[in-house]
Amino acid sequence: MSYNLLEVDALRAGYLPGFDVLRDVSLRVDEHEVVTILGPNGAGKSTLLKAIAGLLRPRAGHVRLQGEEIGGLAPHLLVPRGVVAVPSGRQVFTDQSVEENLLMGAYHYRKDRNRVSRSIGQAFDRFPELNVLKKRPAGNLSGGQQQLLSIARGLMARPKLMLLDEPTLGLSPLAARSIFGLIAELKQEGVTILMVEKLVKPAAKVSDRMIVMELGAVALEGSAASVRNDPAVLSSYLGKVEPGVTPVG
Amino acid sequence: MPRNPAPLLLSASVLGATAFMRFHLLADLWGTVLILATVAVALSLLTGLSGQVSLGHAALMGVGAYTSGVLAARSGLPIVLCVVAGVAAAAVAGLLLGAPALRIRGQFLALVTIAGGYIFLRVVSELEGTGGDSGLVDVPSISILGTELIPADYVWVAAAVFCLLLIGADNLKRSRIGRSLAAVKDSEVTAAVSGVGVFGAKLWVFCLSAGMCGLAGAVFAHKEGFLAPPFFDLNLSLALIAACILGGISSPTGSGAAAIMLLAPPLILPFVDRRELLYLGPLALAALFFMPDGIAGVARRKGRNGLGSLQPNWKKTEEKDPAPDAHTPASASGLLTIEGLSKSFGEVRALSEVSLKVTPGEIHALIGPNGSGKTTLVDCVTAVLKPDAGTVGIDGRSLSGLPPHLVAGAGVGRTFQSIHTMPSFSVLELAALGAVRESPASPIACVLRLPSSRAHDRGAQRRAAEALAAVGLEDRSAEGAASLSYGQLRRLDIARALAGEPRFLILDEPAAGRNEQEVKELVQLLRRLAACGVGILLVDHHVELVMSVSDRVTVLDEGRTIATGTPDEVRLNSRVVDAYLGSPDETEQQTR
Amino acid sequence: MTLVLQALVSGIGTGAVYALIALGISLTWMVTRTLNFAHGDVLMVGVFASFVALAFGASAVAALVVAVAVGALLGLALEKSVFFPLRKRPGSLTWLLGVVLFAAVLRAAGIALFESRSYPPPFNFGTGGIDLPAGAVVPVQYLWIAGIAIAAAVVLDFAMSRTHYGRAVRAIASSRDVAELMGVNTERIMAVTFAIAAAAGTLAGLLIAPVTFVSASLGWVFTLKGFTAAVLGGIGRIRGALLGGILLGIFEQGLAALEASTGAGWLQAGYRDAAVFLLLIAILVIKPSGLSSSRSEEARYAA
Repeated sequence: MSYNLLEVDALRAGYLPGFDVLRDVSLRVDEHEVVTILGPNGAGKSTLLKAIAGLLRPRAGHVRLQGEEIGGLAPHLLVPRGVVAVPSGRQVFTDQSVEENLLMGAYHYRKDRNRVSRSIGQAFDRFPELNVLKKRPAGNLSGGQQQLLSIARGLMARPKLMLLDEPTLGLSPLAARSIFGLIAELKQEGVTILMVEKLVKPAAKVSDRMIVMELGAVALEGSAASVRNDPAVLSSYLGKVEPGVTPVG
Repeated sequence: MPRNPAPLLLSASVLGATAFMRFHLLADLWGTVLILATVAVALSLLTGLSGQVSLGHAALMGVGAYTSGVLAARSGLPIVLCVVAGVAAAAVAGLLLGAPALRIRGQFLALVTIAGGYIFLRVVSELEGTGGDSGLVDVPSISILGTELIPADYVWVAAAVFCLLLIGADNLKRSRIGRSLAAVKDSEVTAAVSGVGVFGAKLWVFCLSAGMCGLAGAVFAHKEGFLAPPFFDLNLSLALIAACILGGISSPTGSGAAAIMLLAPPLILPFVDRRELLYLGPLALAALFFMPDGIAGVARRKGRNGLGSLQPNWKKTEEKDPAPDAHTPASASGLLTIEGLSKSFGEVRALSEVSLKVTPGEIHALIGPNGSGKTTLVDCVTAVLKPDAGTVGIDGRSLSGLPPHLVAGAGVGRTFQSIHTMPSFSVLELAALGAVRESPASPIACVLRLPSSRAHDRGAQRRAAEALAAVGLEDRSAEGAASLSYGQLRRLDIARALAGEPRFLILDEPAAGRNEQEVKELVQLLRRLAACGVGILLVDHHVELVMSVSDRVTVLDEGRTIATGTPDEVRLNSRVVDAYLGSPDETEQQTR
Repeated sequence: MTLVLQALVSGIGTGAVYALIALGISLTWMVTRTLNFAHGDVLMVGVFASFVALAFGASAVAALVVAVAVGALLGLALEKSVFFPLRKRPGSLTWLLGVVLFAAVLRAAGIALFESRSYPPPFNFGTGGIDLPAGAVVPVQYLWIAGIAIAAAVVLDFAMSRTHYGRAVRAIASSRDVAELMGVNTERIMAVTFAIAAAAGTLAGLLIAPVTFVSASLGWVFTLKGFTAAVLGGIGRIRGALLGGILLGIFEQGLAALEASTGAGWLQAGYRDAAVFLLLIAILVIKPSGLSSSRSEEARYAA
């Protein structure tokens, strides 16, 4: 019997007692797929990623990785299994150098020195601009570079499943474009990605499927192209547009 | 509101017991115990009520004792004046210890109090006028009407001081000021936007608590006739803290009672002296884990939550729907104007030159994608954050540069996107916090529970009850504010803001955590408030709510206003669509 | 000149010890954002453990190992049994009360068992001196103290900058959640850090014992001096702690030298301590982030 890489089943989670941000979320991600989660603020997108990555304990439901229950495991147990999250807002370790940030990504196999140095070499081959900056404190990098570093650090952990939380948040259009380029590249290489993104149109280009969340549950799900063109997506952000009216500039 | 019986009961027991303390040794001991218990009450007021941990209360007592003692022994001033000087000196020392609260708080302030206490001890030990390490001898006794008090008489002085200060402290805790201080402890920002001057309140309670220690110390000096520095060292401060924790640090009565019970043994038994922390420490540690509210928490009546300052008035809740004119603001003219507001965090520009106006009776919605600066704008308008540039004004009067509690006083109320839990409060008390600026009773009135204090309480209670009814929480009034669910907490936050009867109300995501029915109730509430002339700035991303209820919508993206207009205009604006979905530019560019 | 030189050398000696104490305080600050008010009392118990070991006939080295081990275990116990469970409680300062009470119990136990007498140092580095030009004499013990303390501090500094553990600590200091997402077991790192901090503190206590004598009631003074040094250098900065410690040592010894040369009564030992703590308050109020940090960081310290 074969399993989906990630299987989320009737997941319920939240921060404050008595209030579930995630009310009932079920979704699947297959191997080598890129899946984007859309939805208005407060729909529970980032919370979902936190719950999968182990930062938040599910209150009910299941999270399974290749059929194995991982719900409730702490991140330090999940990272070695290949579940790696890249938090939103370019959260690099600002006081540490670029190279040290990358080393943190290799933390779970830190004792295998050969593997670490191999990974570092590969990372710098892939991101030559980080190689140039490798001794710089990460706090001195530009926003785009920090986001790149944040993803590169996540890749150091050798993810089976990469969770990206708003990778383009607060980036210039140019920097955002290069992040989408990177995601497309990763997809080619077969990395499985589940990401939250607000820029629907560019995200659709790199995604296989898209999921729209509303009020802590999945509202809509389908192929990237079909969801992108579904008017329900826009109305989930801005309310229903009366039929017959077309957007004006 | 009924008077709280606990401090009266304790006072009566103390006075009763005092009548039996006839033998010299016993009376001497009892007097000292009551003096220490007085300091414990002072500590409970500061640490338990306002949340500022002091590890220097023994030293503050020492300041009062030494000032009064040295003056009496060396200057020959009337002893009453010496005692007054002792109280004043301790209060000033309290101000000095508390003043850093302007810049630092919490653990760092606790550090300052330890260091301050240590400095006091060192200075007293080195000075000659204080008798130095060998101690100050021959402190004269107090004379009343020409008769000099003998040591046994001091039980009555100490008992009187203890009882009066205990009752005063308890009155204060249950007054407007008690609610302000508890709010400062639970969440400074909530206190500030409700109209509490946070720094002033912190400093004031530090000064008051220190003055109480000073009085206790001065009585101690004249009672003992001899003072030595080691008595006032950290050991005593810690023993007092431990006793307060065991008694329930947020209860003056519990703290005082525990101090009486627990601090006597070291005074009688020589082998316990200076080792009291061997039993007090583990007991208090265990209490932190298993009995966080101490003895007072265990003794508290079931169902009594919060500070015990306001009890719901069950008879009066018959009217289902509060009359709409209950919220008629004083004047329905004028505008809330926000002009050119900018704010950066480091290199991130959270707001750039945002301007908007809210007119009375208008519902103005503010929407925008995640991270577009909505909450930053609300924080800048309510002075929780200091904008880099731009102005905020009401009726042409500038609010720029005012601290948050004065902005609240000018009629701007707000709620929070992220809930601050306020475990010290009952639901009713927390709602009443919003009315804290309404005809405020003076501190003295609060301590003495004068009619003006009770009148304030009645007014605040009425407004709080109305506000709770408006958000549908009237039947939860008596519960602890921390026991509510998330959605109820958000409604309670709105009630707190409503109780201030604001002219302009800024609601940060009021719909979060509400189901459909509750959103409908919110819509009705907003409409009713607007009909009364309250100007509402509504930040939310509940689309149905925003689009159905707003008169105007302003859209922020990356800190800039990208559109403003009626809901329909905004919804069809292509810049708005792009802000939410990504711009065509990004779409058309081939990324790979 | 002679006095200045001597004050400088003894200042660096005691300062290096303060630096080691401050390092522990900074380390636990980095992983928890809290001040360890029990630091000095924990290290004092470690020092007293060396007396017990010596009384049972242990060699000096064995006694040192016992002391450091006891200190480390006590640090671990503090974190596991008091700090960590109370940190999660509502009421923002419950943990502080818990740590303070833990310290108070240790102190009371120390006083009960060892009285508050001063004890002779467990180890001695001899009383000889090395002559310097200009007639100055540098006591050998200060050189030993400074040498060992600085060596220990350098080892710790190296560990912080070059090892996986050190990177994990700095990652937690930057963001606990993100460190967790990188696979760091943050709870374990916190516990280990308390142990390491206590071990370093105990070593510092053993080193300074020959100069100050030790008594059970002095733990708090070490806590306060450690805080002063840490805050002076900017708390949460490893090298800041080193710098702060040395500066504090020189400041103290400088005042002592001034008293010795001028006979000024207001510079007596008691006032000197008062001056140090006045300095602590002043830094906290004027620049809570210490000498070496940017303005944007200050907001953090107000919390």
